Amino acid sequence: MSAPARWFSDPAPRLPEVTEIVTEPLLERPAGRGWWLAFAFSLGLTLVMTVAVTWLFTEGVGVWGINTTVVWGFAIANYVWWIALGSGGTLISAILVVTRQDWRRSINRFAEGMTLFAVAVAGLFPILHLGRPMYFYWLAPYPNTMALWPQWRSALVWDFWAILSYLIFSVVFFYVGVLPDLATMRDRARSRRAQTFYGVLALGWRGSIRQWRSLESLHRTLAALGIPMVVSVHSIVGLDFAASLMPGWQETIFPPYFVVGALFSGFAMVLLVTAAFRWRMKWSSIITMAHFDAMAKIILAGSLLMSLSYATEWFDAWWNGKAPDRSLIAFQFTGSYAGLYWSMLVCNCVIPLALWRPRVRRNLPLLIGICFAILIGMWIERILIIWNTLSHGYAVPMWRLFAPTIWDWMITLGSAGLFMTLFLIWTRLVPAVSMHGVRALCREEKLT
Amino acid sequence: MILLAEFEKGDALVAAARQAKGEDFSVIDAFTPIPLPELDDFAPGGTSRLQIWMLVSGVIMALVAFGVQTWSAVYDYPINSGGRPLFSWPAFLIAPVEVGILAAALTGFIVCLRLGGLPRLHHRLFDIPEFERASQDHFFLLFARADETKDADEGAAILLARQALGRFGALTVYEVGS
Repeated sequence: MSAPARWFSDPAPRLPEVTEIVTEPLLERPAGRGWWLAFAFSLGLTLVMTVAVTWLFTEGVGVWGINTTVVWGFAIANYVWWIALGSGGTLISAILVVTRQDWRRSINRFAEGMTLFAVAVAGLFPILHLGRPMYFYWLAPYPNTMALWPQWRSALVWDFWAILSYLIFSVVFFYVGVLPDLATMRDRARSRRAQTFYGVLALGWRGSIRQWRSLESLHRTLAALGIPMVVSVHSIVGLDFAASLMPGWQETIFPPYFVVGALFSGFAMVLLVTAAFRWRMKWSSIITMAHFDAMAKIILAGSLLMSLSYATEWFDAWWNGKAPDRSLIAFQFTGSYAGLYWSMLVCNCVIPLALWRPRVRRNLPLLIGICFAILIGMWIERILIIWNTLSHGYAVPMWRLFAPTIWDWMITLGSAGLFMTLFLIWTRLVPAVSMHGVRALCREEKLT
Repeated sequence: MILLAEFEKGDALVAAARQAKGEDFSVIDAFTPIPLPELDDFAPGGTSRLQIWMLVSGVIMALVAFGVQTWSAVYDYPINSGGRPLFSWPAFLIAPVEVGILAAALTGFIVCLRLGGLPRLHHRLFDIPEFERASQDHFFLLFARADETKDADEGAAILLARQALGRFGALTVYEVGS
C-alpha cells in the first residue's frame, strides 16, 4: 500500500485539474517558439536524410562504407538501435501494467508515442539496406506471376512479420489507451475543425459503465499480450545474427541478450523523453523524482544484465576453445575497433553503476548524462556486433575493416530528425499524458 | 421518464447509485471520466467474451500462418536449400507467434468497440451541453423513476429526483426524455 500522494508532488493536482494541466498547452495555446525551433531543426535533419536516401536509391548501396567482407554497416545497426528504443514504450505499457506499477500512468502516453515513431523509423532501414529496395514487397506472400513464395527460413522474412505485427499492435494498443482522452479533447475543443477531428477519432465515446469495462479489460489483455510480442520481436532481431554461422553471432544468448538490450536502451530513451516533457510542459506535479528513481532502478538492472551477457560471451569463447571465437574476443579488446569496444563497456557497464546511489537516481542532470551515455554506448554496441564479427570471420584472407562514408552518417543522423519531426507533430495533436490514468490515480490517492 | 444527475465526485455517484431502490429510482447507466469499478453491479455481463474472441482469433491466425508456410514450402514450391528439411517447423513457428498476437489485438479492438456500442458519433445525451463534463471531471448517473404512476406530473418527478439526489451531493438533474 503506497503512502498518500506518493506519485504526485506539491502542489498535487485535484482530479478536476488534471484535464486542464494536459489539454491547456494543446487547445488553448499555439505552438511556442521553442516548438517551432525544434521543428525547424528536425525538419532540416529530415531533409538531410531525404537527400541521402535519394542518393542511395539512385546510386546503390555502394555509396555506403560496406564492402565484400563487412556486408552490413550502419543500416542494420540503426535498425536494431531504433527498434530497441521502441521497446521502451511497450515495456512501460505492458510489463508495468501487468506488475501493477501505478507510477507508469503519467509517463506511458508519450512513451507509447515514442514507440510508434521509433518502430516506424526502424522499419525503414531493412528496406534501405536492400541491394534492390524496389523489390522489398517480395518479402510478403502475395500472388505473383513468378509463382514464388517468400523464403520462410530467412531471418529477413521473420523481420518482416515481426516489424509489421509490432507496429500495428503498438498503434492499436496506443489507440485503445488514448480513446477516452480523445473524447476529452472533443469536448474541450474550441474550433469546429478540432471538434470534428477529435470527434471522429473518439468514435462517440461516452464513458458508460460497459464501455469502461470493455476498454479496461481489452487494455489489460493487450498489455499481457504485449509482453510476448516485445520479447518475440527482439528475439527475432537477435536471430538476424544468431541464425547465421559467423563467429560471435552464432550464440543462443543472442535472443535474450537483444531483448535485455532493447529494454535497457528503450528505458534510457523513455527517461530522456520524460525529462524533456516534464521540463517543457511544467508537469513536475504529476511527474516526480520518485518516477525517475523508479526508472533509474530498472535501467541499473538492465545494465547489470548487459554486463552479464558480455561476460557470458567472453566465457563462451574461452570455454569452447574454438580458435575463431577466441581470436574474435581478442580482436574486440585489442584490435582496430578496440577504442570503440572499451567506450561501449564504459558507457553500458561502468557509468550506469552510479545508479546504485539514491542521490544519483534523484539527480536529474546526472540521470540525463547517464542516459545519453547509455544510448551512445548501445549504438556503438550494435555497430560493433556487426563490424567485429564481419571484419574478423572464419576466412582469414577476408579480414577487412569498415570505414563509414558521409552518406552513412547523413542517414543515421537524419533518421533522428525524422523521428523528432513525427514526434513533435504528434505532441501538438495528442494529449501527451494519460488524463484518465492520472485522474484514476488521483482518486486512488484521495486527491479528488 | 429518463433523468440524468450530475455529480462532482465519483464517490457521491456510487453512494447514490447504491441507494437507488430506497429512493425509488432505477439506475440505467453511468458516465464517468474514469472507470468506477464499484458500478460493475449495475451493468451485468462480464468481459470474458472479449478474451475468448481474442484467443480464438489469435489461435486461428497462428494456425493459418503455420499452414500456409507448410503448404508452400513442402507442396507448392519445394526448394532444396542447402539440404534443409522442407518441413522446417522450428522456423515456421516464428511468424505464427507474431501474426497470432496481432490478430488477437485487432479482434479485441473490434469486439471491445461493439460491446460498447461504438462507433456511434451522435447520442441523445450529447444534446445536453453540460454532458461534456462527463469526459473531464464530472460524474453522471442515468436513471428512471421506478414507478411512474406515483408522480403527479413530470415536474413533480424531477423535483423529487433533485431532492433525493441532492442529499447525495448531486449538482443538478436533467430531463433526457423517455
